[in-house]
Amino acid sequence: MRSRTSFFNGTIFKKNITHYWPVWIVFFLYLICVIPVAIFFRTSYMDASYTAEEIVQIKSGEYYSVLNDALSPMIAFGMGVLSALAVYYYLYNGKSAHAFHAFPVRRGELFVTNYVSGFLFYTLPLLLSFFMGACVCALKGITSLEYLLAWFLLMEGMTFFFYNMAIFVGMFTGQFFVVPLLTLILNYLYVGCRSAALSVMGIISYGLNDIYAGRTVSILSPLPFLLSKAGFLVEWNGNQSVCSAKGLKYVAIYVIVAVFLGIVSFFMYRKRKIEVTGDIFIIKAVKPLFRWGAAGSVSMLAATVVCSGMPVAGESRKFALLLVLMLILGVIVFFAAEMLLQRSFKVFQKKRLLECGVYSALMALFLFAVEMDMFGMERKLPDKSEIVSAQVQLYYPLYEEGGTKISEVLAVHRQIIESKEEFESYYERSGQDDVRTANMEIRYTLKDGTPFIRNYNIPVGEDYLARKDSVVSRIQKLSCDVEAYLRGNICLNYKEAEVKEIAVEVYDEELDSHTITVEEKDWAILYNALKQDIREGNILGHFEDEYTDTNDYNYWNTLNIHIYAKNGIKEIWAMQYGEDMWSEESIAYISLNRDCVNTIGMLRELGIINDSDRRLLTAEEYAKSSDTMEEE
Amino acid sequence: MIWAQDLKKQYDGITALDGANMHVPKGAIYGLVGPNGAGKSTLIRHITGIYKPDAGRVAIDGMPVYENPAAKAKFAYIPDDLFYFQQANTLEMKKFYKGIYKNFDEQLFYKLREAFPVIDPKAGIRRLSKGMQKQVAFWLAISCRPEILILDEPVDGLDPVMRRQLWGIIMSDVAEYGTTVLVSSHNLRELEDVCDHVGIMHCGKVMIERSLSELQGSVCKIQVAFQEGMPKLPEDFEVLHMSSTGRVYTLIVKGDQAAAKAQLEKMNPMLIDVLPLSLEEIFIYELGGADYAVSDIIF
Repeated sequence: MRSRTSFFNGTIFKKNITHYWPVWIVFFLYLICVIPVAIFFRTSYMDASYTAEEIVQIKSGEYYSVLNDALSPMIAFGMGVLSALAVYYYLYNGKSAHAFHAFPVRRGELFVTNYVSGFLFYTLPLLLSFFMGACVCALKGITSLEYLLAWFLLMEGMTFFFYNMAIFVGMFTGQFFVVPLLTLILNYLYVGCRSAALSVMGIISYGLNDIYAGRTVSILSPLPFLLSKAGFLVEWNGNQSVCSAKGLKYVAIYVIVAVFLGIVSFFMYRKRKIEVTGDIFIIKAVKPLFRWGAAGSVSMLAATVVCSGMPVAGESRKFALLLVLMLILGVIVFFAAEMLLQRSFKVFQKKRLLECGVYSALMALFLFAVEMDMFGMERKLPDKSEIVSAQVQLYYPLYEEGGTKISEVLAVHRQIIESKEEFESYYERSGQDDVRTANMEIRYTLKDGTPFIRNYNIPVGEDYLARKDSVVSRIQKLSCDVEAYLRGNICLNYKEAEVKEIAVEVYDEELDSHTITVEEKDWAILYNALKQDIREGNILGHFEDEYTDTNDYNYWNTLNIHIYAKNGIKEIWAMQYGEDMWSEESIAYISLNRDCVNTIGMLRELGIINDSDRRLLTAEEYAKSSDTMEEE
Repeated sequence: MIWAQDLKKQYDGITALDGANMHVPKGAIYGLVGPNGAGKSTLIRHITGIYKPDAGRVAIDGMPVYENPAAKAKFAYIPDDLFYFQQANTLEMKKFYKGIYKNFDEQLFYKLREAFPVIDPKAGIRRLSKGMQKQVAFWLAISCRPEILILDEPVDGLDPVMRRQLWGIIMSDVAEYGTTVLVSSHNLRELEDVCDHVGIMHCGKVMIERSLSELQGSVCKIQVAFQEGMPKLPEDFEVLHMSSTGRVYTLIVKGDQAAAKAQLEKMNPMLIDVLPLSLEEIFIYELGGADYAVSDIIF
């Protein structure tokens, strides 16, 4: 006779709640500190001089700030994993696993009871702190409780997701400490693998030597994704602080995934083999994944680190070194992973050696495929219709949105790709007479928001500078444009920006620097002189190591333009991060060199610089003076 | 009461159970004996529903055990490696057991307090000695009023005084409530005095399973002496072992001892005597010749 089906056991539930009280009590105390107590104190002390309206604004600002500080994906991750570990701890120890499964309780009942217990470990403290926060808000006259509710939903959703993820991970392992470690690894798996693969490509592929592309967050890597996407955006609109909750949509997606993971975990628990408790992986199919994954990722990362640190000339030698390193490290890590799985050093069985051979062959094949550009990564160019903006960094940042300029950037880019062999062999001769290269980055922002980045070492020797159709000359032509220069060096919306101050750094005889402010009446003529230098290409400078002891071309002095824009300054570097990173004020530092005759002449004419106590200083002069001072 | 049929279990490429069969009658005290690694604990974990067999069936009182609380409620299990909640004391564990086992008898629990005078029920169990922890396990298990007590190496590692004490508790429970007991051990001597049924395991199989009376009736030791050496014995006279000292022969004979004695008396012996056989000797002669680690069980 089968017993009646039950999914909840009061005794086990009571045991969980009373036995693990420190877990939820500590979390509750933390939440009390960061929500009701923080709201209370941070909105309490108001200067007597504030008007009632100002007090309301300051209180709101502080309230939003408290919510933003209290919204922590890391805490959600920690609490989610801890709750899962607490209620399912018995699965990771033979004694407890045997005892619990010998009790007259069905597995479904055990799973659901523990699941509900763990769920309440974080939900009740969050809920209570939400209500306590609401009471404090009422006391302090804060009415915008929708943000507090958004905080609760975001925290609850994130913790729920990480809780279910940890339970799911726990169904694959029989080791307690593997659960948090594996959950963390899984959270970074996608971006980690992407970074590792891009690092390898960066070493052996033409144009792919930019690791920033690997740092982009992805929804497939939940923790870093939520760290960048979930939060409160607090802005000042000129009259008051305006708050908006970010990431609710993504958290909702993760909640759906969490429900799915929870259901899968339930069925996995019912099939779980108790006899393999203590094994790192209790499901056979995961073991080769672990061996291959560990060997692949660790060898890729370690080999690229070693390769990057070794001065190896020549693309073919670099490739050979990477291949050898990856294969050796891969084999070592493969068997180290197997030793972990078997908990034994005796892992060199015929079957495993064969598997390792297959792994090594596939890894070598992958490297050869990358080297021969079989994935088409080197030849790949984004479609013009997909490009929102193109950014080129050679002389200075060029930023183009739409129009013919993007076509020109694409054309130059195509030329670079077609010149692969020529450029690589030229680069290998770096250091010889008149063989000069410069690093050039091209970054496209596509319509879906993703960046497409390539990085090349292009020839900039005299012969290339003399040819009008060379890459460097074509970029030079794009750069001798006043608007492009001002957009790249001041800000994209420089026309909307208001100049607050222009100053020049000068040096006295003692080499102490001083900042001389240019009078407002002289701004226009100085500005015109600068534009003339841009048009004449003077500002572009030479391709040589800047600020070395022997550089008598570039000046240490800069022209500092302090600007303000009510709607935020669109600086190129901040464009990829969105409006959050646009500040209202900024200072543009314009570098000067000996060719900037118009600007320097005007500065002399205005009496801002001279040859005595307001000098321009080259790196060479600076080095010599420093040596003299040291001798004295 | 407990019934296992053709149980098979493999893990990590090792065959832990290889078609094990077992039958424990109601009210029996069944000793499961076997050398280390024979599969005793694995078999018990199948009987308690912890493991799911790869093949075969297990039933308690006619009900399948795996994922069946009704069947599991009939037994209390004391594993070789005891488990208690971190920092829990005996009273807290009692509370938990009371919630888990519907038949838990709180009055009996307090009544049994006298049987465990050295245990402070308010002291953390994990701080108690191994022997005391075992006592707590028995205390809780018996208080569950189970129909079956399943004990995996219950007195292993305990000193003789403690062993005697725990066996005393088991026997009094059996006497009072008629509980069926399944007890495993790798030492046959340990079980000789208490079991009425014995099963011997080896390499994942129950090789022999008999009641003690059956065993004792099936083999006998006869000392016999003849004037002119040992005459030719009849063909149906199954001698498991024979040794001699002078003209005195010691025979281990399979079959009914009275019939064997009668047959030998017909040959006019000078002397004939039927001697008692210990459980050890029975198993040695029963399993003798086969490739069994008998010495591991007995010595």
